[in-house]
Amino acid sequence: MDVTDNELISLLKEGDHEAFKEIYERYIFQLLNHAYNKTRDREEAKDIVHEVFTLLWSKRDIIELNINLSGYLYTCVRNAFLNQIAKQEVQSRYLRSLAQFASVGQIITDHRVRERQLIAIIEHEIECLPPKMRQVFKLSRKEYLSHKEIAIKLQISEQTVSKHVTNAIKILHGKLGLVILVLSLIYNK
Amino acid sequence: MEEKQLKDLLHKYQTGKATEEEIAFLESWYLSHNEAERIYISADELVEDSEAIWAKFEPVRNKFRLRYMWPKIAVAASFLLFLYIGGQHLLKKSIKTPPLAKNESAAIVPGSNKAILTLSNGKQIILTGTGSSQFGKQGNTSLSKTAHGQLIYTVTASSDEKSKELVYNTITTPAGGQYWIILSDGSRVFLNAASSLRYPASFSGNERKVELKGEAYFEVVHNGAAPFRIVTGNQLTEDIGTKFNINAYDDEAVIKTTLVEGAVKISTQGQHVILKPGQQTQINNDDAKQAIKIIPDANVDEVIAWTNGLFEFNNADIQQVMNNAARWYDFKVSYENKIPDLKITGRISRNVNFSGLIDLLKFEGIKFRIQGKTVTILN
Repeated sequence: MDVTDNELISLLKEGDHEAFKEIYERYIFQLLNHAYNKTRDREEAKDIVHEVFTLLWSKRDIIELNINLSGYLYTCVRNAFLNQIAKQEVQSRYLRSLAQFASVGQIITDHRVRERQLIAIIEHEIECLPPKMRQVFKLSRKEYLSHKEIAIKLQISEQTVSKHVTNAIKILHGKLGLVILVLSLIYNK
Repeated sequence: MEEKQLKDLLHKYQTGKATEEEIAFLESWYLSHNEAERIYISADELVEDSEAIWAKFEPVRNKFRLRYMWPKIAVAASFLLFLYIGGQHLLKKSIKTPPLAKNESAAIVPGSNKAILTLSNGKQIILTGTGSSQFGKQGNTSLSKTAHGQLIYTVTASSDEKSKELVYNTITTPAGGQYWIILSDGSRVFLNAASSLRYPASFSGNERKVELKGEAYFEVVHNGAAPFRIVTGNQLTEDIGTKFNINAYDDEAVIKTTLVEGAVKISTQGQHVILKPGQQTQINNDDAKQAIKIIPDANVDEVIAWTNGLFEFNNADIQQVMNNAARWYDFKVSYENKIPDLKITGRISRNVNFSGLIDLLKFEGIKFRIQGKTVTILN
């Protein structure tokens, strides 16, 4: 499964569900971590990230083949967040921070600079993940290893990253992909 | 900046009316917001949340467990529904409903490829998910499911005397389901939500007859020696080499048959018409004696939008829009007052989450209350 982000986009455009799952696995933790830090609310963070992946699937036809997938997802998270806080229910929690920024904050006028900073912040989310998870995601993102290869490389089954991941690896050793194992975890709860 | 100004700014952003400078302000704020002091979430919580989100993309649970639990679920569901309706009735006047909170529509998700296949011996197979499987033989055909929501019948033996007796299968989609069926003659049928199709596993003799409830899109392989006939209530549709859509839900006033390509013959109670591409017939669901109504310039794109994964409405009345959405998102519709006389025009992917559709309808001036799986129109 040595698939690059751009190959995934091209598969996604063909309506490939597996490609969608693979993108989800690659990015879910860092996007969630990021959304959680911005909202400080798990439900809000989940809503935002759910919205981003829903958009990714529904707009797959119009996504350009050569975009930078990570950058695209990050800007989607930011836009979904800003749209969400425009809604009355949660707005009040952000008004003070906004007002403060309006008086002392520095506005970055060049959108390319803003985009670069956004990428830097979210890439930093990988560093904020718990150590074993971080390695998993670095390997799958930067080296495009399959999850099985990562599991073997990290001897991850010996780790107690979390109860879920430990359970997951037992199934992984049974030659099932991470996708199936995550699904089976959901279903067998 | 004043609170009022900030609120206006956020509103402008959401409605796409913010200027370059305003966008720069919000996006710059976003970069700095909460960065000075980070808060971490545990690995367990991350895994839990990522699974919760993923579950929304895969709304169908473990199929084996579900198969055996189906009768129990049905009994429990009807009991709950009974309680719920009774409770609603009793409490209607005494409960003041709170305003719509952000997560109340979370229970409502778009549909997906799923259906239940009932074999001639009564055995049921739940068709879901993206895996492909073989289901063995039905008469002289073999049966398989692909990863992309298609059920395929393939003739494995030439029809001999023994197999002349037709073996019937029925495929049923629940609300929120859809499925492609490739029949043994190569004809393709796309079944929309809350619909069913009964057909022989393999055709023989001088006609190919199927029965439809609900809505389906047909691409029939023409065979003059064995015409393809579709029974829907009082209506009989006979293909003359063709692509067409039949909408025959029980809760709609008329059966609509819309021809995309080729020609079809529509008959009911001694009347018949032959449709040309772009035309639509409407037959009264309750009173088949009424004359067949022909719409000479039907909006074909709108009719078959669902086959391309879209909702498309051109000046459609609210009831039609809500019935359509209710079948796909699997919710119940109710009207607080008289059904409002509003016309909806718009196009949206059937993959959007329910709040996306709600946003479109809100834009059209419709007001809602959402409680669990019931959507009440308040206009």
